[in-house]
Amino acid sequence: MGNVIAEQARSGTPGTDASLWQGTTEHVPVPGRIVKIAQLTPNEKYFAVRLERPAPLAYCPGQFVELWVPLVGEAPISISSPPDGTDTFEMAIRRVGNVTRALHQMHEGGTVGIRGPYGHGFPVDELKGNDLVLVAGGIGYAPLRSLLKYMLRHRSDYGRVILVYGARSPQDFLFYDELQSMVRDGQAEIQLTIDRPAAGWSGHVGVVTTLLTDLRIRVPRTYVVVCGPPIMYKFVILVLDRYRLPPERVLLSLERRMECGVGKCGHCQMNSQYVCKSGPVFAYRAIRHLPEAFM
Amino acid sequence: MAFLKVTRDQFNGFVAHVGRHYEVHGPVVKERFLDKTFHVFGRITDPAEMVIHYTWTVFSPKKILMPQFEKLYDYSAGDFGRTATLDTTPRVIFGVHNCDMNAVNLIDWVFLEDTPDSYYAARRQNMLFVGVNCQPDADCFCRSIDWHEVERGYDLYLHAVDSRMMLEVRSPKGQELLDHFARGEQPSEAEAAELVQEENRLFCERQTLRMNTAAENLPLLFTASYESPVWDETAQRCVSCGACHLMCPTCFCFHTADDPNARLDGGSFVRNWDGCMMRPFAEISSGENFRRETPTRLKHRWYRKHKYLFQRVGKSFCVGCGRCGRECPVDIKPVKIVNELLERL
Repeated sequence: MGNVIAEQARSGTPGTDASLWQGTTEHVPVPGRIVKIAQLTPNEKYFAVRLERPAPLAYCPGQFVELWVPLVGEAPISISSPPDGTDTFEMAIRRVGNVTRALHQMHEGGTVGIRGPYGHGFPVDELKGNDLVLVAGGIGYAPLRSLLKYMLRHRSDYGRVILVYGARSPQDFLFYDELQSMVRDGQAEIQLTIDRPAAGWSGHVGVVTTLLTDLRIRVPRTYVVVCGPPIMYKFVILVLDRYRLPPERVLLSLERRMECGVGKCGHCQMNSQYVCKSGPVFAYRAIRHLPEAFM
Repeated sequence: MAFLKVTRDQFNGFVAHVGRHYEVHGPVVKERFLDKTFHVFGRITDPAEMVIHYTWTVFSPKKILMPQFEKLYDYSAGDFGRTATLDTTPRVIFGVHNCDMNAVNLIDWVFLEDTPDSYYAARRQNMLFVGVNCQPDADCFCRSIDWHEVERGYDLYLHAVDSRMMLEVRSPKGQELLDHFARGEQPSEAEAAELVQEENRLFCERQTLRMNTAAENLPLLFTASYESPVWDETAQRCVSCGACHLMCPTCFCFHTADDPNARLDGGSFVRNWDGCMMRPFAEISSGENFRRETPTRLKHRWYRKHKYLFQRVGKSFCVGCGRCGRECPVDIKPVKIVNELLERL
């Protein structure tokens, strides 16, 4: 009692099967091949995924995808690479639940499903001509890396680029080697901090807000972009208060429970907003009156 | 609008004819328990089983438009094949009350305009609605919340008082159905007007439950009540069973999940009804839960109905059907919540 809606298979990379494209709706993922996996930290892995058809993923920094592991389920994952014209995008994924546990057991060459990209990303055009302070807490660095690397690729469009990144311990920094080479290149001002003293760490110790107390920034031409665990935002906002930044110049990438990714299923609701649709990137000004925004 | 006077036999004949070309659903008795009779929308094979006069059905037509458990696509794990199937079965739903028709219109706004959904669109575009005048009970409050009149959505409307029945055309498709399948008499204008008047009189007599404020004040009331003690107090009783959003004709949140087969070589990706009253609704993988405590969830559900969605569509998203109040095992009633908020301002 129904009709199968069959779509014309598109020609593409040799070896791909036309039948893979039957019956597509907005809820059906496209196949993505895992081209590279690397261990980033004890709990997080790097995945580079190539979408072969219909085209490479067209996304902005700050957007996310719904990643499907067949037989297990879907998880919302931030894109961690800048859009650079290649057909591969990158993600840094924590092993924390069923889907990510299954994903961490996959190998290069495996196929996952991708839906997206979803959400409002960082307004890279609006940010042009400004100094940027990126505040990353833990895995919050994952989407910020997309923005950071985008700005470094378009370096002359932006002023100072400052990254302030706090992790629990030295092993918990994502892309640590890459960060060290950015420090050496001098293209961005990067400050790392860990929560508690650790053997072999001679850098800054203290939660990430301790690196925000003495920023030499020119307020009228600075944006602050924040991403980290839910508990972090209110402390960062309170510490930033001393700079009297206009609330439209503080951008927050929030996490909620995304399932459908398109503002329908309801799980990501934050008062009147669907975080997957109106966000995940919000200007503080737009959400500061929402009681459920900072919990 | 054209009216057609029919006897019950003629009505049954109409339904039988329609049933040869459409899948027909209508109100039937599901069971009787103590002094209560439970009606549901069921598949009609014998038109004589269709109930004309009833107070409420357990589920609204939402159950047919947006099934409780719905497959999004089938997949085979090996070759990554995915196949989505849309349900375009032609259906006619009989016996829909005004509140439920308005609820369908609100869900239409969600899934046809706001966030288009192919699965919903396929069903909705092939569905016709035949209304019937209602017998409100003590929990209904559609009039108070200004959803007792229906501007669109019906294809036909059955006016029924005692044994008098008249079908009224409400859309071109409805006219077609009548022309092809119905037998009856043309009533005079006076006869039709009298029946409608009688029906309205009975309706007003019975629909007595009122909120103590006009419907258009609801967003303002809720803006003023975010810190009201009513939420904590009401939540003391709430057990988050979820009956309210299960029964609600305008709740549409859903959960998506992978449903593998026993051989683990494929399966389906599915969605099923979910609701913000369930504790894990706003929980993320880190263990953080943005609405862990019951008062926050209770608040959120009512704020969606009377404020957030109200401000998007211009009227409350609650149609006053009364199902949540009737079903709630601890007697949390929608009108009582509003009236208590008013009292405790």
